[in-house]
Amino acid sequence: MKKIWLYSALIAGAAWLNGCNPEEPAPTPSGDLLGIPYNPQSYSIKKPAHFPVVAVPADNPMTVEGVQLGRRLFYDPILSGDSSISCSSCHLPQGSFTDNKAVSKGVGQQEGTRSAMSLLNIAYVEGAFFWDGRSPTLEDQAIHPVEDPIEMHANWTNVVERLKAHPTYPALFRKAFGINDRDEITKELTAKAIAQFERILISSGTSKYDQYLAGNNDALDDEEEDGRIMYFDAAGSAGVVLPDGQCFHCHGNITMNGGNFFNNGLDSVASLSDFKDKGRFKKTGNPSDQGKFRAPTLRNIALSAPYMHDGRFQTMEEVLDQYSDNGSGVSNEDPFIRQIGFPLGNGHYSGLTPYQKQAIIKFLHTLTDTTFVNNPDIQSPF
Amino acid sequence: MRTILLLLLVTTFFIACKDKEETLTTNLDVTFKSTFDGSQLIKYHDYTFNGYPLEISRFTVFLSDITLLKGNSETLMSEVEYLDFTPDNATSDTSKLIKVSFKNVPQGEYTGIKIGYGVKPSNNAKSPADFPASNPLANDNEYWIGWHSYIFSKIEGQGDADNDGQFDHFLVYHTGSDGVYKTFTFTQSIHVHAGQKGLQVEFDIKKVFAWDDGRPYNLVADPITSNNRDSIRVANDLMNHFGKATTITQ
Repeated sequence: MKKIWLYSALIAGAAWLNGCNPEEPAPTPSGDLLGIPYNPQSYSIKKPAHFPVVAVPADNPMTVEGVQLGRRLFYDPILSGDSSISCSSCHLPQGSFTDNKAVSKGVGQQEGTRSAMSLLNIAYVEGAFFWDGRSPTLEDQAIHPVEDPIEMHANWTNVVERLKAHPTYPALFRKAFGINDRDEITKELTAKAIAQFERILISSGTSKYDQYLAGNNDALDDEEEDGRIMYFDAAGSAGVVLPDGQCFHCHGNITMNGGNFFNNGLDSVASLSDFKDKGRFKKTGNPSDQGKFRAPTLRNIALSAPYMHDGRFQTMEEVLDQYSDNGSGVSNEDPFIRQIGFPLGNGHYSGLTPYQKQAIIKFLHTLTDTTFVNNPDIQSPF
Repeated sequence: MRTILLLLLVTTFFIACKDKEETLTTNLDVTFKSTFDGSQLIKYHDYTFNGYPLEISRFTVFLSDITLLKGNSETLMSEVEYLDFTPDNATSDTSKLIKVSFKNVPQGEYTGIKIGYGVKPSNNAKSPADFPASNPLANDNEYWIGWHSYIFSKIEGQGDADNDGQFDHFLVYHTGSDGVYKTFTFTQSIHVHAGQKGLQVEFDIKKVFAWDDGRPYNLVADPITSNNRDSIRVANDLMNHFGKATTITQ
């Protein structure tokens, strides 16, 4: 009660003083962009009805102007040191926003160490971008490739100066973020715009599998259906006996983005420290995370070969052959890798027959969404 | 100006009087902890289970309708919580202590707490697309299309059941479906007052792997849950064990 009286007295005092000292008028804003209207329109992310709601950060709301700016920046080599590389150089629509290379090449054709990840449904990945999950947000992720010496090999200070001096970008930043002067263009705003564009890269819902999810029970043929059953450990028809492919446990359900980090049994090493690419350990520093990578999306997987973090597999057949071998015996391998097929007793599993592998591959083909890759709203604006 | 000040003071007076008539509330802090045989769970640590080494690599659980009890009255604190004790962003193998602050809990002396283990049927009938992004049930990776159910709990690991130095008995216990949703009531005094110490809720995985009479569950014979009737039995057994595997202290 005493506190209430104290606060009241303080408020009264402030009101009194306010009456004695009229506020000085607000300063008139200055800036070379003030003549351009700032009326951002909210952007409603299109998604299939059966997809989850997209989480949008409060400090980067989706606007039409933000998405347009981000799309332009995504395809513009202005972000690279020698103006030869853009985000789209490694993330092309036709590859479902991969470059279909084992490892990507940056400025000067310098070879990286990992394959470009697909950006399809990237909006659904939570808190861990890149193969090793070192970036917590899309906005943060967009900042790193610009200064990476084997990617865009630029300096953000120089890139921002180019944007400020550009005949078009200052106005676009004004319309997207309400800046008054081109000097307010920053790498953070640039990354925010790119993130807004990336958030609209969502499946169209027209793949064969999505038609099945929408209720069309005839969408999948018998072999594709067998593949689906094995992918999801799902109940099949009476009399149908199929093993568990264990796929969805790592790659997830609707968006098939996985999200967690796994050692999927690619390499046999004597000790975890022998992994050539330490993967998730790079971010966490936890020795048990050596050799673990984020499970990528399997949507449009038929369009985004080659496969794995280093692009070692050219075909899905190679991938299924690898998994059918039930791992490499390393201590931190995911337990599901060891349990593919029918149980044989004593902890051993059968792996998959040629038919079962082919059925899973056929099912994976039903995830192909050409409507997405051909969507004019996500192509280069240049 | 004088009129405004007078109105302000009068309003404040009436608000102060009104507060006294309403129930006082406070935040109740609850720390959730995962253990193995009483010690905080550490991933890949070699525990001894039924005479052989056993390692746990993942433990998650959904809880539903966390409710304080006072005689016949109930105070719902949370409809759903998702607890991931072994998140992939951890910098060490020590399992995470998960602190949840339940807001605006009426102060008083309670006689117990009731907790649902898993996702209650009314929510389990839905899917991630039905929930806002901020809701734990919006997480697509915690849903099992094949079972039309959320994954109520995940316990994964590996054991060296034959003591030959090879950890080749892999455990994957993912439970789900309405039939294995369980509710347990813990009868004990719980004090909820401003400044009062919160609760600690511990889940002991060794006790999840034990029958009521203490016999160890046969992890070798039933190492995995997948889509067949026998797995439902295993899932049901493990979810049943969560009651006695839970310890609540204040």
